Amino acid sequence: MPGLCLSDTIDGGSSPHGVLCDRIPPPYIHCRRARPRRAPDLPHLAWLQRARGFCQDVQKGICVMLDLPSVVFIVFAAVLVGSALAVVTLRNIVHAALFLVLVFGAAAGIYVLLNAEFIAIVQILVYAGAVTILILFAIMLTQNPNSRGSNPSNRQTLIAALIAVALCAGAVFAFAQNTSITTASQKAISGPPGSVVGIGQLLYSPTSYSYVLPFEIASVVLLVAIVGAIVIGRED
Amino acid sequence: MNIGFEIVHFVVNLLFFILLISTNAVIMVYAERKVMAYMQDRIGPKHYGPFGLLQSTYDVMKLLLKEIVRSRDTDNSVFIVAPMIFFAPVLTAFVMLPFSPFVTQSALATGLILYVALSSLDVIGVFMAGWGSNNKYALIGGLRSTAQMISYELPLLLALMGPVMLTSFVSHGGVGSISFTDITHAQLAPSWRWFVLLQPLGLMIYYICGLAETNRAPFDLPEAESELVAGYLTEYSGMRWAMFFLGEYGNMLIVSAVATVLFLGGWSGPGADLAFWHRTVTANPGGIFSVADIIFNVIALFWFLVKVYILQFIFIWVRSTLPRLRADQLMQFAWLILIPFTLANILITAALLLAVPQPYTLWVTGIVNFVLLAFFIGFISRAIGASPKGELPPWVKMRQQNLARQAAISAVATPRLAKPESEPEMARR
Repeated sequence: MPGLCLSDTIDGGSSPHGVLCDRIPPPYIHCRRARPRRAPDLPHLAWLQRARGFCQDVQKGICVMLDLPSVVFIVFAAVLVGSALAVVTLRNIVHAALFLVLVFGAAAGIYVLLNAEFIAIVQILVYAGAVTILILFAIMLTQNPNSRGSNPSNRQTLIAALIAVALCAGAVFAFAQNTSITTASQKAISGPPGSVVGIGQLLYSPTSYSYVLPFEIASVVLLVAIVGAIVIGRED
Repeated sequence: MNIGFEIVHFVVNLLFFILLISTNAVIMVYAERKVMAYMQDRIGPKHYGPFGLLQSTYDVMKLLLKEIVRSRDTDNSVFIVAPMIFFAPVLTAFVMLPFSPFVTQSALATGLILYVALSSLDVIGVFMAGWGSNNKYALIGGLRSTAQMISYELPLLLALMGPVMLTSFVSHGGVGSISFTDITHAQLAPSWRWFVLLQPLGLMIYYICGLAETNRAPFDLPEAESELVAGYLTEYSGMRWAMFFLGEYGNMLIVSAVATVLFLGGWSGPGADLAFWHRTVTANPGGIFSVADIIFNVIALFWFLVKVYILQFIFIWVRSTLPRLRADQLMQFAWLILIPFTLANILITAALLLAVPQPYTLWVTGIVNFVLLAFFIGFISRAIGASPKGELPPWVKMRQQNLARQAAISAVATPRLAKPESEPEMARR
């Protein structure tokens, strides 16, 4: 996350993270064990050095620079995690499904922060608008909103927690190791990666490197699902 | 782009949108009652203010003062949040609508998709209202509305693809756009080419789907009074109820505005076009302010609102004309008529844009689409009449019935005309 820098990365551009950090003029320094202090109006690099010195003053406390995107990110992330927890812990299925909408909405907000505007909107359209509606629709037909009776709590919490932690660690490890995943495909397209034109070229372009084949395979899979649903749903 | 301009821009737009949503609802409530009254040979509200103009104002005051009633077993949080969830996407959708070059909050590159996404979020509010009310009428209304909105979203989105394809043909470089601002600009050519001339079928189908998305007659099954009391609104009262109505009228406004932007040239019109083409700088939000700019923006806004209110008038007209559909007819209409037609429209338009050589492309596309529109209208009039093959179409039958009735009336009336002769008989009795 650019703009959210730990103290040891504030070094004026010598570490790879520092490059990201010193492009963003942070208005506030917020330190643990210290009050937020307004940033002095200095040239940027000098300000960073000052900030580093400031942090060393606070006995190696974690110094976090907060700018507007980071604040928005923190808000969205908090909403996302909180409502995700609500989805898995609430006993009332309808409430859980409605919190799922909030999860998808917060995820869309984070996509917007990452300049992936199109993906954010598609996230709302497909997940919040269609998938959750489908879930709600199914619940509405079952007439049994309370999962307390239908599926009583089981005793696999520990295993579930282990698997979740392992998955999360794996994802974090993968992203920390390899930053070239996302950049490889960016080179193939001409427009900015998040734009509609860029995504269109990436998906459909017959000339440059694109994902036409995976896209078509995915649509065939969906077609199979649709045909299967019709076959099951037929009355005769 | 200086910050002062941005702030002024934002404040002006925000005020405009909020005031437009609220006044639009009041105006439309009044217009609906008055227009429908005249169409049904009544007078409508007339007591408060000249021509009853203050009727809606009093209604709003009544709603504001009304006690909010809640029945005991509602799902409380869902019940309370539902009107807000219904209203929020409506307010958000105004962000990317270009009312005029200045009154456009964001020339978002993905405006069209965002509009579709927001209109799909509305369903959640309706569902929550239906579920939270703990009332079987509300639940059935919510269920119906959900099914209807999901079904009609598909042809709605497909009908919007026509203008998008046209932008890719019209604009330089062959790169299309789904930004509302770009689509408006694509229609502002010196040669007059609103997309309704090239995609009349698209406009027709989009408008029909808009009727269904906003739960308006003839698709108002979710709130069918004769079957479901008031559908998902049954348990609501006071301002919460009004919030749903604000949302519904806001939705009508948005549907009309999107139709205006995509098919009717947005804010283009006599005066606005010329100014745009002679002084292209003014179309840039962020440019320098001058009196000419303000006049230009007012003219643009005027044309936009005129088109929007004509479309909203048609909403009322349709409501007072057509009877409500049955639930199965509603689904069949979406899946068996609208979706095949929109898909055919996309295929034919794309093929024509690619195949027909340059100077004639738009002409051929437009003419073929008008033929398709005529075919569509003929098809739905036959499908709605549900007459077997060989039977006369409904309007012919109606005309015959009218003629027969006329004949019967004149047959009854003739002896009366010959009154003087029969007078002695009357006297004898």
